[in-house]
Amino acid sequence: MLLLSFLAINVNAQQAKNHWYIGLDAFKGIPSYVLPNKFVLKNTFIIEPLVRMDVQDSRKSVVFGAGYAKGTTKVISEQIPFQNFRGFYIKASYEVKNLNRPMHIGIGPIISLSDFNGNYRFKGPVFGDYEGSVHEKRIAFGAEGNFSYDVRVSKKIALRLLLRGSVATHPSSNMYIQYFPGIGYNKGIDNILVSGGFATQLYYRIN
Amino acid sequence: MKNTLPLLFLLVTLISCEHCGPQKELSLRIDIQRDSLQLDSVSAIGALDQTVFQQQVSNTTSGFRRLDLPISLLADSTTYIFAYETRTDTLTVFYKRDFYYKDGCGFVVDAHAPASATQVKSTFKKAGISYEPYVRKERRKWGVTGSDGISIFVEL
Repeated sequence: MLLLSFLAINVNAQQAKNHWYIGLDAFKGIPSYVLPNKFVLKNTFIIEPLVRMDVQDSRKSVVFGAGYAKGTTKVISEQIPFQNFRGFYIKASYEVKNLNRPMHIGIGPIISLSDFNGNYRFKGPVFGDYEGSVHEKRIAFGAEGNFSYDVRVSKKIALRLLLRGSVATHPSSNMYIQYFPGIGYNKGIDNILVSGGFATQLYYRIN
Repeated sequence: MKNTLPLLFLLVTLISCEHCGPQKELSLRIDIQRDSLQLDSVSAIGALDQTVFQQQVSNTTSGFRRLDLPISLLADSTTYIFAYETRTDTLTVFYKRDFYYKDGCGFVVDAHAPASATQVKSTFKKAGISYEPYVRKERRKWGVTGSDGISIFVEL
C-alpha cells in the first residue's frame, strides 16, 4: 500500500512537474560535542537523510526520512549515571505549505528500532557498591508533527528551520529510556514517549 | 469545581505513591532477647567500614537489644560477629538478592528468602528469621507503615 501510494505520488509529481528535494539533518548531535558537560547528550552522532516530493503544484509535499543515532545520555537517575543508545528510525510526513510564506506544517508516522545499555549501581558505604548491567532492544512507534520555515540560500539550496513534537509508545522495558533515537529526549514517563525539539535541515532541489 | 481539580489530583498523588524501597544498601533488624551480657562489639566479615556496627552497639543497652545492621549487596549472605565480655557468637544470614527495574522508581533492590533450606546459621542458643519485602508491589498508602525487610531474633 505504501509503495502504491509512493508510485501514485511519483506519477502525480511528474504530471504536475513538481520539485523533488534531497535533504540532510546532521546538526542534531553537534551540541553534544561542543557542550558535552552542559547538554544531556554526550558525544552523540545523529544523521538523517531526507527526500521531499512536492505534490499538487508544490502546495503540498511528502517527506521521507531515515536516520541513525548513536551516543550517550547522562544523569538518568541516581542508580544509572549514563545510558548508551544506538538506533535506526524511519519517518514520513505529509506537509501543507502556506501560500504566502515559505512555511509548512506537517504530520506523519515514525518508527524506531533501537538498543540501549547501561550500568546501574547501588551505593554500599559499608560493604562496597553493587554494580550490574542492563541491555535492551526496543521498538517504538508514534507520530510527529512539525512546523517549518525555509530560508532560501541559493536557487537550489534551502535551509529549513523546524520545530517538532512527537508522541510515541514502546513496550514495557527493564530500564527507563531517556533518549529514544528518532523520537527524542523523554523525561519521566516510562512507556509513553513525549518529546519536542528544534532541527535544522539542508535541502537541495534536484529537479 | 475548576479550582478543586488540581487539589484533588495533588491529594491522590500524596496518599498513594509507588513503593520503591531503600534503593541503597539494605539493612536487617536483629532483636537480641535475654541479653544479660555486656556486648563489646559487633562486626561483619567483608565490611569496608566497621564503624556503623559499633555505633549500633553504643546506642543500645542490654536486656532487650535491637540492632539495625547493613547486609552485603555483593553476596547472598552476610556474617556478623558478636563479641561479648565472656563469649563470642557468629550469625550468618542467607538471602536472595533481587535487582530489577520498577516503573515510577527506576532500579530497586530487594532481598527474599533463599531457595535453599538454610536461612540462618548461628552459635546463639536460638535464632529465627522472617523475610518481608523491602519493595512492596502495591502502592504505599499515606500514613501506613510496615516492618519491611529481614527481621531476626536471637536468644543468648
